[in-house]
Amino acid sequence: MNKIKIFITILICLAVIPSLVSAFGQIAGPVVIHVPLGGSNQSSWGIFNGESITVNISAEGDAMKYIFYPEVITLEPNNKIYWVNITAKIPSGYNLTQGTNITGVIYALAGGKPGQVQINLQLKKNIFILVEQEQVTTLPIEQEIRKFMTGLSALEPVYVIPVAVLGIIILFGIFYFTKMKRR
Amino acid sequence: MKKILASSAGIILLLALAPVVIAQTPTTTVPLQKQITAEVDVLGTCDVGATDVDFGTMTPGSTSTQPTTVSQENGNTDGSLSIKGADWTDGTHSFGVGSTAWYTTGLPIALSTSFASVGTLAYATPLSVNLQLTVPPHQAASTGYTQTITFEVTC
Repeated sequence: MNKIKIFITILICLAVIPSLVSAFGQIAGPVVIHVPLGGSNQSSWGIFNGESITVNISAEGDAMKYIFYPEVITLEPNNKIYWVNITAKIPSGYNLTQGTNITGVIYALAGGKPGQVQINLQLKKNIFILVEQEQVTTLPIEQEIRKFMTGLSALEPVYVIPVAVLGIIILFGIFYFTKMKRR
Repeated sequence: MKKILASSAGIILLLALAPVVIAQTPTTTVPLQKQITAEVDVLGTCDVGATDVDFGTMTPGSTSTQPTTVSQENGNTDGSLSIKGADWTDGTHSFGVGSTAWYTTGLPIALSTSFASVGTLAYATPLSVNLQLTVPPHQAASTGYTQTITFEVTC
């Protein structure tokens, strides 16, 4: 009889103790994307959860017109970070007088457990798109040469060795033909 | 010829004895140790979790208050917490979102469909948010009224 009483008490306790919805989190700090005029660039937003869940992504604000992101994602359990790729594209016809700092907000919504009161959890992240005017400049000849030399030194040995062998063969050829001519 | 034979025999003898000499040489055991450096970068994070709420059974015109604990489970950065809700409905009947009010320390504030700032959700301090439901007078009887409440965190 006592055992039954204990069992019933445990059951009542379990029913009364409210269960905690698993924590839904994000990496701190805003998402900043530098985008050249007429170009695109990417950044990511890290979100995670204790359990595997499906999350809906949405956006608001001026930045919404220029960003692309997955609308539904599935998070893996154990707080494994899911990096949501956010691509920003700025058309070449974008009027810079509209501002070079386009702001917006991106959301990740996790639906709660169905019940009398369903508690949803949402993460909010500020987005800043910084539009940069691409500058095409002509370098002075000295800088061009330096750039070329840097490019050469950056060549991998795989390419350098055949080039060197070819050079030696050519030198030998020139030397041989010069000698033949003299004879 | 004899000299060559003699020196070859000498070399062979030396090679044959070498392992024995080496084996008999007392050896000292030097413990192998290797120190490694472990590194980790810890990211700044904030998270949000909330306990379930159930108002149980109520009569029209009555009021009940239930707390929900909103907290960060693992975060290390404070966040800004906001709350919003939707109307109560059972699919047929409904009553307003504002029938539920929320408060932490001050006076109850009617829940709205737009986010309202609750305050700072400190990473190490759980926040108790009280939800107060007043069922409107003459509200139709039903066993299936539900409401959706959303907590939002920014960091």
